[in-house]
Amino acid sequence: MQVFKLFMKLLERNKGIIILYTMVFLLLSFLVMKTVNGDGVLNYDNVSCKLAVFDNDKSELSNTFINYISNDNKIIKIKDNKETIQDELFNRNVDCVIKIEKGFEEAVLDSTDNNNEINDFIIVNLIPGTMTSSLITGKIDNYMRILSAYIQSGCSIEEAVKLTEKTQKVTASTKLLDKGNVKDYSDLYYFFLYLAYAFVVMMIIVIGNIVGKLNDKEIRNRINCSSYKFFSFNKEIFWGILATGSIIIVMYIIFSYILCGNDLLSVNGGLFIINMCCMMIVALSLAYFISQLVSKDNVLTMVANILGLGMSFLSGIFVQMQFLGDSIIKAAHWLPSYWYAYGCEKIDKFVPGNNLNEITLCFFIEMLFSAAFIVAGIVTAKFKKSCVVK
Amino acid sequence: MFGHYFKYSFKAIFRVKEVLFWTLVFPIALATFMHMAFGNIYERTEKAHAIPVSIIHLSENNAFDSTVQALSEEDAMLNIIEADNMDKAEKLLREGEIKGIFVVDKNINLTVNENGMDETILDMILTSYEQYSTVIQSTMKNNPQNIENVIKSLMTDKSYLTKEKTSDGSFDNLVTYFYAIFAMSCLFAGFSGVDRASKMQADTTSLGIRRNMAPNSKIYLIISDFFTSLIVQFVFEVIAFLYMKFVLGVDFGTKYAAMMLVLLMGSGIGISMGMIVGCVKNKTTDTKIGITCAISMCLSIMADLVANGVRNAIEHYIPIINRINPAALIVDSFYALNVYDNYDRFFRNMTLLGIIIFLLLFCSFLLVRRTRYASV
Repeated sequence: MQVFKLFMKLLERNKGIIILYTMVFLLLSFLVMKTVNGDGVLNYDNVSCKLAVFDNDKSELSNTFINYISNDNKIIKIKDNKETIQDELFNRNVDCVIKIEKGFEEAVLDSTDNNNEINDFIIVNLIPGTMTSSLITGKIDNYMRILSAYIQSGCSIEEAVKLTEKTQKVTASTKLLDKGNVKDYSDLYYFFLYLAYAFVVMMIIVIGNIVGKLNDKEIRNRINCSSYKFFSFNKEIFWGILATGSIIIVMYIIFSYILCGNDLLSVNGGLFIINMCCMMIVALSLAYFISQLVSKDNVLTMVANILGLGMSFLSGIFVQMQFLGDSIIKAAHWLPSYWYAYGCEKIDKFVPGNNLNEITLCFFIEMLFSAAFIVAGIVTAKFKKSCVVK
Repeated sequence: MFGHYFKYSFKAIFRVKEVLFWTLVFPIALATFMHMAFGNIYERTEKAHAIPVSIIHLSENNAFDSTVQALSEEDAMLNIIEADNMDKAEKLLREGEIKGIFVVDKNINLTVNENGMDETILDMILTSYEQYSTVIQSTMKNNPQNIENVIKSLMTDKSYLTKEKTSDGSFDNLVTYFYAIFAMSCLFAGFSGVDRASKMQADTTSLGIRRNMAPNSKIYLIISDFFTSLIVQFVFEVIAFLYMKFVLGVDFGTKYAAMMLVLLMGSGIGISMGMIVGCVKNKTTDTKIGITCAISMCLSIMADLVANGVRNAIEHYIPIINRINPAALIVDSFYALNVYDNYDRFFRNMTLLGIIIFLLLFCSFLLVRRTRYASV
């Protein structure tokens, strides 16, 4: 098993790449798990917006208005200057900036049918054309219409404010279709989703480097002169590639247990591991195929990054599938990483007792891709050998 | 002599294919993938749209029907999807075809499948309807003579607020990723800087040996190499810009002259950064390339390359980092050109970039001047 031993020695020299991409992946997964994920949903609750409010009127009415608007929303404190407002809106730190100008209470008291005076005292800065702007403007208009209606009905301003406050307690009867409906994905999902990128890039660079060195012209000629048959040589390279994949899978299972805890020890966890193994086989077979085409280290890095990033962006790994366009989704069906990401989604929503057909279909398609890459790699290797002989 | 160095430095630059890839092909490929992935996000998450909803009538309610009809026609806030019965409606809701079901009976209820913006707006519509009904009932009871004015007040479509224009620029914050790609590709010009600096050192390349034997001052070498790399890198940045603007359709605004200045300064800082790393002694070229790559990626990640909001978070807690991070200065310059209507912040960033370029080139010169080799 001399070729296998040599393979392992060369793998040990490439451990820097494995460590680098593993660190990047773990950092990314950890950040996403901690910032994106939320708890399961039991009851319906309105989405709250982030508002910055500047009260230049400082009257009782403006105070009441601010209390109303901050009821379901978060009030964020920012500086009152144009640049800060632009920055905070652009970066979505606030959804809307509301300014109540001096004279607001007098304008409401003096208002009749003409509401243009009140217009001038409530100034909003928001991102136009968004659902958030529709929600916030709708809420403000709703409050002011009810207040104005009570004034029109003959109430004094104090009575109108009290009645408006009382009316605001009337809410819609809204319920969730399925209580306990978990909208967000689990920690396991985010951990296993991103590793597709790490696997593809790592394996292409590492396996490509090793196979490239073994296919070096001088080394190759020496091996060809020896009694090692083509089949034995390639068989040991395959064992080396499988050993590499196995070591990395065990490593990542340990990391997933550290980050996700006992969630891994479940049916879903088991299915995620199987899906990960299928993706590793895809990455290894793709790496083997690429290594037959490209031998230079710097070109391998370029190809690895292009393939890794391209597949990850287009397959719903870096950007969730629900946000991708229909044509992108259709084209992504030709990528093995799409079936991996699709499988992850189905596994995350899987409940024991349900049908496994869709999930096993994903595994099967990933294996088909692997087989295609392996055959392509072997054919390329044979073709290159025959060219050398000629 | 400067002309001689300039001419041959220019010819030599195109022999280093890896630099061409990382500074031209990779940013274009990354921008293409990002555009394909992010192209629909704004439409699917933020953009105002008609919310698909079904209505199941268990009893008649003409007032509610008129309200919903008005919202689906004039304002196009709602898109009514027909469902024969509750089971069918629930199926559509679970599949995501509709966002809510209004069940019209003695009371009106809303059923939704998740907590989201669309569902919140549906809740707001129903809440407003219930509250308006309360106001009308209260007026009918207490002041029926004013009912007409009350209804007119409630049904008005005039707004009680003024929307102030925040900026003439685009507020699509996903464009920050494309700014960060420019920052990354500018900093990747450091590979060219490392290559140029390596070819000045006698212990690294044979060309370095020959150059060190020449009696001319090293300042000619540094400046000629810097300007040739700058011209080539700037052309690559312009090609990438034109591709993103006209092929991908990314909206960068219309201040093209200022954007070209940002790309020029960005290229300059990447090359000068690479040159100072390249001038470090006793390290192989591969190690220097690795250091340049690591520095460029770290600085780019801090400028929103992989996650939106990192630069903004740094601005809130440690703003000095954004003043010395070249990638953040490049991204901030593009942002300032897009959003602000004055050039104050833009010129501040250009000044900082200019100072950093000067300091890096000066330090490079200090590192290589009067270097003597006992043997190579």
